[in-house]
Amino acid sequence: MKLFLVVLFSFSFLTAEPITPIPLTIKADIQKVKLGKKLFHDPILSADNTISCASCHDIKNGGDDGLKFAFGINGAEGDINSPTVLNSVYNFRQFWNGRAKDLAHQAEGPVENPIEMGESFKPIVQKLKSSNYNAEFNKIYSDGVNKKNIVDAIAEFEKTLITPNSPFDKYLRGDTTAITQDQKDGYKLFKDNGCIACHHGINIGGNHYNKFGVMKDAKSKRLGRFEVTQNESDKFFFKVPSLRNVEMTAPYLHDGRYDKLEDVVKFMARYQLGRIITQEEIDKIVSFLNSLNGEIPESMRKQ
Amino acid sequence: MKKGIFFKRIDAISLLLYTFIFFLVILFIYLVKVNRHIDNFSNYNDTIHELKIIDKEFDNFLLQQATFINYDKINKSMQKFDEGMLFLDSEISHELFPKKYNLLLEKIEKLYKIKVTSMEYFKSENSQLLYSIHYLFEINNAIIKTNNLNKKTVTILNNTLLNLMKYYTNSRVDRAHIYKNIKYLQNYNSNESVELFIEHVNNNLIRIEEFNKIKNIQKEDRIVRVLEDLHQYLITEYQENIIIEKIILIMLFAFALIILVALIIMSKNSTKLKDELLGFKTAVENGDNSVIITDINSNITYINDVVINETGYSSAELLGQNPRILKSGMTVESDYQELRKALDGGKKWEGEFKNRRKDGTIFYEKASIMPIYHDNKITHYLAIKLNITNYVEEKQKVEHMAYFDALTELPNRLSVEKYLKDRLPIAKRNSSKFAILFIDLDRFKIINDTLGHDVGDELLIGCAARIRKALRDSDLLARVGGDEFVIVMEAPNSDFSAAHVCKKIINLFHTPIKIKDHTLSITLSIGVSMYPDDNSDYKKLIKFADIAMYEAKDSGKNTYRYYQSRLSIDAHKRLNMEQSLKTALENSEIYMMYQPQYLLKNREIVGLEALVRWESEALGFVPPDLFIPIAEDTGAIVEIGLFIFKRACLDFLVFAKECATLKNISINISAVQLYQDTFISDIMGIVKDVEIEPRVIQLEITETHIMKNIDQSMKLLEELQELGFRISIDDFGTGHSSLRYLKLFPINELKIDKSFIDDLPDSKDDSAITSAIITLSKSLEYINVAEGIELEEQEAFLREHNCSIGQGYLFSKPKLKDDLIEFLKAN
Repeated sequence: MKLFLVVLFSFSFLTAEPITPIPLTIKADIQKVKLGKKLFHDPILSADNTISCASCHDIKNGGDDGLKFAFGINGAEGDINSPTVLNSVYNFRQFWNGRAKDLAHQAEGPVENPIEMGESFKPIVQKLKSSNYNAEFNKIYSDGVNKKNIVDAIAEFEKTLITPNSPFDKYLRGDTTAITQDQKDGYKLFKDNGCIACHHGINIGGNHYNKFGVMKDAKSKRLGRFEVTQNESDKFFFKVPSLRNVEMTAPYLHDGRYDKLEDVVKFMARYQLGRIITQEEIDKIVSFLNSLNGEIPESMRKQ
Repeated sequence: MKKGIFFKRIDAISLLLYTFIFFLVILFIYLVKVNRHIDNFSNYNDTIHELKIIDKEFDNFLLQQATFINYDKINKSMQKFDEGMLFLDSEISHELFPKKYNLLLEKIEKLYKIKVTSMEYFKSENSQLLYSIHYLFEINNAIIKTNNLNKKTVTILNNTLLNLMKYYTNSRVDRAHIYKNIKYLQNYNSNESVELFIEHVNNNLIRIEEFNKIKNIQKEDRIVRVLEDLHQYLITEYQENIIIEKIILIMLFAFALIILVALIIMSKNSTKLKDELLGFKTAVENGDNSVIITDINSNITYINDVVINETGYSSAELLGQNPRILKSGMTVESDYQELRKALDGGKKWEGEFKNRRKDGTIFYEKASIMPIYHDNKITHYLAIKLNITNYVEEKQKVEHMAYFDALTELPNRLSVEKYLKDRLPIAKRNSSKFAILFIDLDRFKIINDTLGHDVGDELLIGCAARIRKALRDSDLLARVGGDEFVIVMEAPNSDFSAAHVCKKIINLFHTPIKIKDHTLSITLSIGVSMYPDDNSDYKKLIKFADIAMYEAKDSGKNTYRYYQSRLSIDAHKRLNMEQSLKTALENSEIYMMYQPQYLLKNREIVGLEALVRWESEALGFVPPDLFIPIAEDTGAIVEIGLFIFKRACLDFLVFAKECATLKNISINISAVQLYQDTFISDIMGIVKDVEIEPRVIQLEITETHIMKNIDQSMKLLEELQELGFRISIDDFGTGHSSLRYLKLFPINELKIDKSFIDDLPDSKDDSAITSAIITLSKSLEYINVAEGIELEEQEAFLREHNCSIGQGYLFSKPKLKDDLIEFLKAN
C-alpha cells in the first residue's frame, strides 16, 4: 500500500515529460511584426518621447531590464520587477497579477502607466498619424492608426519573441549530450523536490497562479491577484513565472529581492515547498536552470 | 419624360421576364441567406457542442486533485472555451437571435467565470497539495529511518499519513483523529522533521478544506445545463426559422413558377399571334392590294410587292419617301385636303387617286387610308390601295358610249342634256344667254334609203364636220338622232348670234357633199330656242328647238326658224300622230274612198281617184294632208302606199264590172315611195297578184317631187311608163316646173290644182292660168284633169275651154267602195 502510494505520488515516475520544448518557429504576420518591432523600439509611445517598450525589455539580455524595479519617464521608479518579454506569448496571463488576458492587453498597460510611459493613446494616435507610421498602418489596417491596431502590431511582434533550442529543449528532443550530468541530476531534483508541480509546461511556469509563501509568510509588499479581484483568498497569489532564460533575468521574484539563483532556489524550497534542501542539491538545480537559456529570437537576429 | 416612354414601351412579356429574373435573383439571395443560416446554425451547434465537451473536461480536471497535471493543456481548453464564447457572443449572433439567447449566454459567462476561478484555485491548491503530499511521504520515511522513535510515535505518524490518504481514496477523513495525532506529535518531540511533517499535514488539511469548497461550488455548476438550454433554444429557433424560410422559399418558388407559366402561355399566345401575323403578312404580300405603311411623318416604312409592281419603283426608292412621290398632279387637290383632314381627325379616308408610275404612265387607285393607333396615339398610317385602272378605263368607255355617238364621235342627246343641266345654273348666275339649235337634214331619209346606209353614215359624218366649221370651240355640237343635230352655244345677242350661225351653217351646205361616188346636195332645217327667253328647262328648250325645226321644214325647208310658243301644240299633235300612225294599218284605221272622174263633155265616168282616209281611234278623223307628210317623214308612207295601191287595184276590178266606161284608176304615189329601190318590183308584184293591167293604173305624182331630182325622176317615170303605167302629174302649177322638162317627161296626164279651179271663172289670173295649162297640155298631148269642181260655172268654164276630164263635189264627192258601186249602177 505504502509502496503504491509512493509510486503514485512520485514525480520521477511521470510517464510524460512535464516540460515541453519551445517550437522552433511560430506563425506571425510579417508586416505586423515589422511594424510592431518598430513601435516596440520607438519612444514615440511615451509622453516625453524618452521611453520605449525596449527600454525595460532588452530582448537580447533576457527580455527584461536587469533592475529590481522598472523605471519610467522622468526617472520615476516602479514597485515591481519587469518580467521578461521573451516567450511571454506562452504565459496564460500577463503581468505578475495576471491582469492582462494576452499580449495586446498587456501592451496597453505600461504605455498608460503614469510611472512607466505616462501617455494615453489619444495623443499617441495623433503623433503616429502625423508621422511616417500613418502610411504603414494604412497599408496593413483598413482602419489605419488606432489603439487597437497599435497594440495588435506590438503583440504580433512580441509573439515572435520565443527562444527555442535551449540545451534543455535539445535534450528533451532527444539529444542526451545537450546537457551535463549535473544538469540532468538537477532536473531530477527539480522534479523530485516538487518544483515541477508549479514550474512545468512549455514555459516552465506561467500557466497558473500560486501563493507567494505557501509554507511560510514571505513578507511581500504586493498583494498579487488580490489587487485585481479584491478577493481575500487571492492575497499574495502571483502568476507563477516562467523559468525560461532564468539565468539572464536577475534580479528575481516580483520584488527583485534576490540577485542570485541559488538564493531563490533556497528561498523557494523553504517558503513554497516547506522543505530543507542541501547545497549540493541547490547547485545541481541551478545548473539545470542554466540549461534553459534559448536562442535569441529570430525576429531580433535579422536586423 | 423619356423614361416614361421607355416604360410604356415595355410590353407585358418583357415585364414578366424581368419580374421572373427578379424573383429568381431574390430566390437565389434568399437561398444563400438560408444556407448561411444553416451554416451558422451548424457552427453554433458545433461550438455549443464543443463547449459542452470542454466543460466536461473542466469537470474532469476538477476531479483530478493530487495528480500531476500539465496546466498548459487545461489553459488551452480554457482558451478554446473563451474563443467559443466569443463566437457565440459575436455581432452576428446578436443580429440573428433575440434577447433570450443573450440572457442564456450571459448566464453561461457568469457561471464560466466562477468555474474559471475555481479552476485557478484548483490549479494552485493542486500544486501545493501535490508537492506537500509528496514531501509527507518523503519526510515520513526519513523520520522513521533516521530517528529512533518509539513504536507509538511511528504508528501515529503512519496512522496520520494513512488517514490523510483516505481523502485520496474518497473515504471520509477523520480530522479529529488527525488533530489528536498532531497534538501528540507536537508534545512528543520538537524534532525539525516532525515539525515539517506536522506543517505539511496541516497544509494538507487546509488543501482538503479548499478542495471541498471547490467541490461545493462545483455542485452548483450548471454550465452544461445552460448550454443544453441554449442548444435547445437554438434548435427551436432554427426550426422555426427554417419553417418560415421554407414557406418563403416555397412562395418565392411558386411566384417564379406562376410567372414562368404566364410567360409560357404568353409565349404560346405570341407564337399564335406570330403565326397569324405571318398569315396576314402573306396575305398582304401576295394580295392584289397595294399596302403602304408610313410613320407619323408620312415617311414610307413598309411596302408590299404589289406596290413595287404597280408603281415600277424599287423598294429602296420608296422606303423613307413621302407617298407623294406617286402624285400625278391629276388628282383633284380637294381630295388631298379631305384626306389630310380625315387623317388629322383620326378617321379613315376612302377615295381614288390618279397616280403616276415611275415610267410616267398614269394609273388609277382606289385607296383606303387610315391611322394606326398604339396606346391612343397615332403612330403610323396605313394605305390599302387597289389598282382600278382597267375598271376606270372601262367605265370611261361605257360613259363615252353613253354620252357620245359612236358614228360621228359627237356628244349624244344624253350629253347635251347633261351639259345643259350643268351649264344652265352657271348661265343663270352669270345672266348669260344660250341658244339651242336643232338641226335636221332635209330628206336624209330618202338618201339613206336610196343610196344605202353606208352613204347615209358617211354623209352624217361629213355633215357633222361641216357644221362644226361654223362653230366656235366653246360651242357644243351633238348628234341627238338619226339626222338630227343639236348645237348649244352662248348667244349674248340672241337674235343676232344664233341667226348668224344658222345662216352660216345653211350657207356652208350650198356646196354639195361628195360621198364616195355621189355628189349630194343637202339642205338643213334649223330650229332655234333661246335660254332663258323661251324657257329655263333644258328639256323644254330642246323640245322647243325641235318644234321650231319643224316649223322651218314646213315653211319650205333649207331655212331656220326661231321658236314661237304656239308651235309647240302642233308639234305635240304631230308627235301623237306619228305614234298613232305606226299602228294605223294594223288596226285597220286606214281605208279607201274613191272620187269619180268624168268626161266634161258628156259626164261619162271614165276614171276614179283613190283617196286614202285615216279614222284614228285615238285622234279621230285625220285629213290626209296632215298625216301624209308625217308618214313620209317617218317612212310609214312606204307601207301605207303599198296598202293603198293594192286596195285600189282590187276595188277597181270590182268597179270596172259595174261601169263599162270606167278606164283607169288614179293612185297617189309619194316621192318617198317612188324613190324606194324596191318600189317598181313591189307594185309589179301587186299587179301580178291582183291580175290587173298596168295600163289602167295611173300613178299620180306631185309636181314638186319630180322637179327636185329631175334626172332620177325621169328615169323612173320612163321605166314605169314602159311597164304600162300611166303617169299623172298632181297639183300641176303650184311648183316651179320648167316647161322644158315638162316636155321631156313621160307624162300622160296633168292635173290642174284645185287652187286654180276654186276662183274660176271670176278670177282672171286663175282663168288665164287654167286655160293656159289646158292649152299647153293639149299641145303636148297630155290629158288634163281639173279637180275640185264644185260649181256649175266652173264646170261650164272648163268645158268651154276644152278641159277633158273633171273631178269634184259637183259631180260626186269621194265615196266608199259600196256607195260608189251604187252610184255607178245608178249612172
